[in-house]
Amino acid sequence: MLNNLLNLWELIFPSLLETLYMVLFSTLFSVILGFILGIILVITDKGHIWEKPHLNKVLGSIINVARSVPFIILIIAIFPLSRLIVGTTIGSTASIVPLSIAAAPFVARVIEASLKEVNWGVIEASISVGATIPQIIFKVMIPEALPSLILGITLTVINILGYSAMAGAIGGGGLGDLAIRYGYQRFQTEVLIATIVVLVVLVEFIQIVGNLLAKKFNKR
Amino acid sequence: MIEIRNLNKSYITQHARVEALRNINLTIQKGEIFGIIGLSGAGKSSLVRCINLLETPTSGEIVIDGKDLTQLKQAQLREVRRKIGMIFQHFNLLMNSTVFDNIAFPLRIAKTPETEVQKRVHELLEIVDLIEKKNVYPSQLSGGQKQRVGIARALANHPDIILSDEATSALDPTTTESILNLLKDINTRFGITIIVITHEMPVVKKLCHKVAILENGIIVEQGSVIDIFSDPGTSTSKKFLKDMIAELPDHILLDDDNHHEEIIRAAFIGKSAEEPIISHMLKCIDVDANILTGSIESIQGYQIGNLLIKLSGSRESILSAIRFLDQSGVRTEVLKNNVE
Repeated sequence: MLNNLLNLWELIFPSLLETLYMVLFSTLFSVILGFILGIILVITDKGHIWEKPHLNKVLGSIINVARSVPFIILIIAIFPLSRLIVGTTIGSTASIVPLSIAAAPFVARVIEASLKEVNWGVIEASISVGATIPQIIFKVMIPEALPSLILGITLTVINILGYSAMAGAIGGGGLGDLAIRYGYQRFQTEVLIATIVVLVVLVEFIQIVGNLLAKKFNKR
Repeated sequence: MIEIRNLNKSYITQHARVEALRNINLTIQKGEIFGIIGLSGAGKSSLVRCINLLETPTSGEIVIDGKDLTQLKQAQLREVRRKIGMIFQHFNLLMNSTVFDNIAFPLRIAKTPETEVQKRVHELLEIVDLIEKKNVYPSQLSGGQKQRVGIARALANHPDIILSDEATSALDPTTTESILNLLKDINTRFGITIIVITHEMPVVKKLCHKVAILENGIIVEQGSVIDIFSDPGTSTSKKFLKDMIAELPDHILLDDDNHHEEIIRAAFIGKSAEEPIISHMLKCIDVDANILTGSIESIQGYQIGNLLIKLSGSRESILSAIRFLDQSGVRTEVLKNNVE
């Protein structure tokens, strides 16, 4: 029994590392990209600090289209780009490219929603003391929305974790790949269950850390 | 000096074009506390937001010390704004920053060296009496304390002007009193021009030197607070003063026998409020005077009395009594008479 578990862990551990690696970097890139898009979405909106209605509309539409494409299709469609950036289309590193691109529009909407919650009065107060647009973004909007942003990023990490399992299905590696190859294709139910348990623990852990951080930074 | 010239502001909503401000002309002298009073929807907030261009006027000029703000480039406008502090009804503090960081905000925005920031913030904490709260977050402060932080923030960059947008409207009477005292103190100590937007006449009475009354986007009356309190010229100003000036009770009816009677409103201002004018009048002229109601108030150290007096006697003596009052510096107004 113990031996069995040990064997199972030896099988799962490398996949877990692959998953963590994919999730970490995909989160990093998608958050960077999503932050830029989300901020632009907010400040170009009507009545905001950098009103650009056309840009806002076009960007909004692009994000909606990108979010409509099923992830599995997106991965295949992005193969050429993955090959260009990473040099291959299989493996964890190659999966980071479609994962980042798929998650970025989602992150953009999450960031947009958080930043829109910032009380307009505070922004008005900072305009009235002569703050520039970058100062308003980085010294007012982001710090004020920080708890909500942290929760949004937590949501993103968990989402990417789910997507990464799908990336596994087409040669991306990680826990999803393991679950499909051993659990599904070879009927090793215990591997399937073990993978799910690991994922459940992972999701719980991410959510708890996210909640704690959000609470820590909330001074309201 | 602030000059607002031919200012118009209109908003285009889905249904119509709303004229929020129409042809506003105001001159506000340096060091003055200038009140702008109006009911909600009168356009007061739009007006104050046009002064530092938080809202862009549809037409007109905002001239501060000879510079027309509407002609400035963004960078120049930001410079000018640093010298115009603003305080808000809902304080608008950074909720995730401490009191200290909130007050330091305008200084850091202006790239003030950190040692200077520390020094200035401590000065400001002392002015608004919040030294012991410097590391506390706004959510742990009372409304009055939050507004003190707001005032300290507005003062940070040594402004020439402070705009106060309903700064005491969310506060209880005692706290309002202390905030008004603080503003008054700031005005006298630092000579800062303060523009006060409010819907409460007591705020104007306590704080302002001059006042403009705004109704439906138009200034219907303006002048010194003393003049408007002693002699409100328009129905809007009377409405605002309703609680402060004596009103003729509805049930008072004049006898309609042969006796001549008249009810007059008499406003005593300054010196005339301190002299026994009525008693002199009664000694000199053969009339009876019955004081129906009245009040004497002190506005910024200036006495203003407001009495409703029923005069009875012959027609001639009533007229000479009114003439006597006029000559003694009392403003009179006949409310009801059956002399004719």
